[in-house]
Amino acid sequence: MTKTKRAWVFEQRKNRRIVIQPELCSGCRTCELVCALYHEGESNPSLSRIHVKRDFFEAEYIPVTCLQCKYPPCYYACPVDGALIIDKNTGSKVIIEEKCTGCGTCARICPYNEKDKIIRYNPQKTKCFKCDLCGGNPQCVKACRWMALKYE
Amino acid sequence: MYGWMGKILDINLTTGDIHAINTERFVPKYIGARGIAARIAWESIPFGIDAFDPENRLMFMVGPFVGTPVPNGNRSYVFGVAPQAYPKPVYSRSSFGGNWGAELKFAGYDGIVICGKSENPAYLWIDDGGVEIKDASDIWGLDTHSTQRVLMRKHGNDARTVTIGPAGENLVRISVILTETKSSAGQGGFGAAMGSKKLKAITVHGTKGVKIAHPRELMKLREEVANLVRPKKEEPEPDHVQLGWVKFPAGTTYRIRRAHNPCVGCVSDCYAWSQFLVGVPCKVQPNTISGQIQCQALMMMTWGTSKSKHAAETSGRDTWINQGVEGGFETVMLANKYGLNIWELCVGIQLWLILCRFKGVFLGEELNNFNQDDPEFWQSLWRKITYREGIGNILAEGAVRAADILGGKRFLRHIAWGQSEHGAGRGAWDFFEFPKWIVGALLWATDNRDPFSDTGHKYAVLSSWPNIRERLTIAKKIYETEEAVLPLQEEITEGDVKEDQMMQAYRGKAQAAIWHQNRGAVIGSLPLCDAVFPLIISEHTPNGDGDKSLESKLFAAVTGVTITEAQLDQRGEMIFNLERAIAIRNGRTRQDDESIVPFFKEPDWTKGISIDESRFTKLLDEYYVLRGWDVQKGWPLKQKLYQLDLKDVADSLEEMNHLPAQTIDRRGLAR
Repeated sequence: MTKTKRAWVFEQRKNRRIVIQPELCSGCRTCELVCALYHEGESNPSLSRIHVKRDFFEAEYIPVTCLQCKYPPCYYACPVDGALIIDKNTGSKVIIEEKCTGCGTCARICPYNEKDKIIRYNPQKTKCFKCDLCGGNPQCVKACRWMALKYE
Repeated sequence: MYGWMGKILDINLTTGDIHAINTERFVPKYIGARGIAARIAWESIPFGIDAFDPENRLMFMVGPFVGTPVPNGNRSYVFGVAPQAYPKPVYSRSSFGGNWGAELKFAGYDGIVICGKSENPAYLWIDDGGVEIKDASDIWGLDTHSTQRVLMRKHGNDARTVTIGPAGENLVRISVILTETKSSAGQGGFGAAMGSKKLKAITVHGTKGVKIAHPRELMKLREEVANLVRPKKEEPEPDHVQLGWVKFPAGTTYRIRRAHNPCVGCVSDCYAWSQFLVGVPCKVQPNTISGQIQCQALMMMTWGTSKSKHAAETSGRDTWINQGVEGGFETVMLANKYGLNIWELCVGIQLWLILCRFKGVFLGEELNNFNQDDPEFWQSLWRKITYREGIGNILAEGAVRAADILGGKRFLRHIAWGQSEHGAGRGAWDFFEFPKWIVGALLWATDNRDPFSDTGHKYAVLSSWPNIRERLTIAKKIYETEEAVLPLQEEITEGDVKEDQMMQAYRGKAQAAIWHQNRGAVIGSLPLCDAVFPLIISEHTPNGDGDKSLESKLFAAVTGVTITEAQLDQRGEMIFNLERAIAIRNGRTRQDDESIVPFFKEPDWTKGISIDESRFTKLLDEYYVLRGWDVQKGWPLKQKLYQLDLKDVADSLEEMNHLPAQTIDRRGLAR
């Protein structure tokens, strides 16, 4: 590993995130579609950076997305220099598509990555992708009519 | 291609052949769901066949908006010759919400056309373009919820299923095709059409994406719509809400969730009081259940006259049914699990039985001695209908066919096409006062199904709008005549209609009916949800104005095809005329349209006013003339069909001698 990654650096920095209130989520999946549309240019939940876990028999809907950890395991684990960086303005952990090799180390090490829905893999591009807070203007939060998502 | 996926599945269950039709053959001319289906039906459904004929097509269609973040644009449609139709076969339609349609788009298809009949029970498994006809003998007989659970276990949690229950398998003519807890294509009884093909379910999963021409524009429009339809007041606490007319007792042991389980991309408070109840204790079975209920389900739980004196006189009591929340909810969920059409059970059967008993019509020992507040009676009746046991075998043919055998036809709430009252002021919608039900009568007369769940809802909203000034100006703007909502219902006193009011009541109504039918065909093709669109009126603008050009703007944003509102409405007119042509080929004439009149001769339930037959006949004349149809026969004229770019349809009708030889004058009116 060529670069030094030190934890104390982040404590001085902003660390913004999307806060989820599952009890308000209606399960309309607009966030998924809007996210994929913004990042990939097509309406496709399998390319979305936010995922709604759904159980329609009990109306249980839980949106899951990157928690933007303060001490991010994915960031430390990434073996490629500059492929997973921290955005200076928002503190979000961003995968740089050009540099990502799609090895999946970040996805495996993420403790919250149940069923690979938070750090996901795009088989067409052979890259990993995850929530980058849209550079400070998260589209899913804007589109959520039920106010289940908040940007803090 | 933006919006559309480019392929429609064509499946023959008899031979097991599967191939794809290119969507580009139909779009953008036929827009989507309702338009494409009408074209396919015109080309491939043989004349006059019965719903259970293997040659009948069962079509599941989605439009360009499905699977995109278009607000309220994620409904799916079912088309085909409807088993519920009465007395002769009718090509009809029905729609459902949920996630299934979006999943079908993600799998890469714009629709599924199914013909033939499988020998053994089968279900379809569509996975990202791959299609398999699989054996369903292990799920045949299961209820709708269990079927979905089994198929989700087999094909993954993200797969979505539409299925029929035991009712559809037993060819009950009032059975539904259901997805999730309650979203179902009900009117028309398409569950039986699916059952007759021995097709239990269609499970879909996909990972493809829908391409959108102008995503930014779409997001802007989405915000605009959300602003126009947002609830006026702050939402109440999620517990102890008043659910429509049903009051929930304080301190219930179950949870009530507001506006859960919507369709994909929904921005509205799902139409009338949609609620999700979690863990409701049952009355009959030792169990608890969860599920979603909407207006028709509330009617099955607790239902009575809204404010009408006449209804109480007709039925003998103010509250017809009061099963309570727990018992009623169990009854509703049982109907969903069996796959029965709640609207028909409620308005068709429950109300008919109650009225017959009050008026002393003897239908049979079982059907005259019952306690309507007892959930156990209704639940056992639903079971008998589903499995065709005893009296249920007769009722399973639908209320109108049952009345042919049992009698009591006078008290039946059946209007036409085998379907029961909706928007006619004499039953379910008894609050729909004179003169509004005149538009209802016109819509019922000229459509192929109950028009009030995808065409007429917004007329009902506008004509009852509390601010009279706004009501009139908006009516003038949309229908080009404010008489469409005149005389004001507030000015009509009970049982005493003045001559000038009576004259006014039959003027300007044809314009309203035509506008809503054309727009309804557009909305059914895109598709959009009729709870929100056409957005002609809103609480949040200074003059109550909505934005009726939203459909064309959204269409341009999604598909990149620029189109004006007027052009889009003309496409709607074309689709409506094409559906009319299908009906004409099957023998529809003006006589069939007028078959609704006897129902409206009964005094309405709010003010006791009956239809004036001679005036209504003239109104129907006016409607045909405005439509460019022949007045004697009710058939579109050659010139009209040519004008709508339906040349081949006109020629083939001419060959069958179904094309009247008249012309249209310069103003576009038939003479």
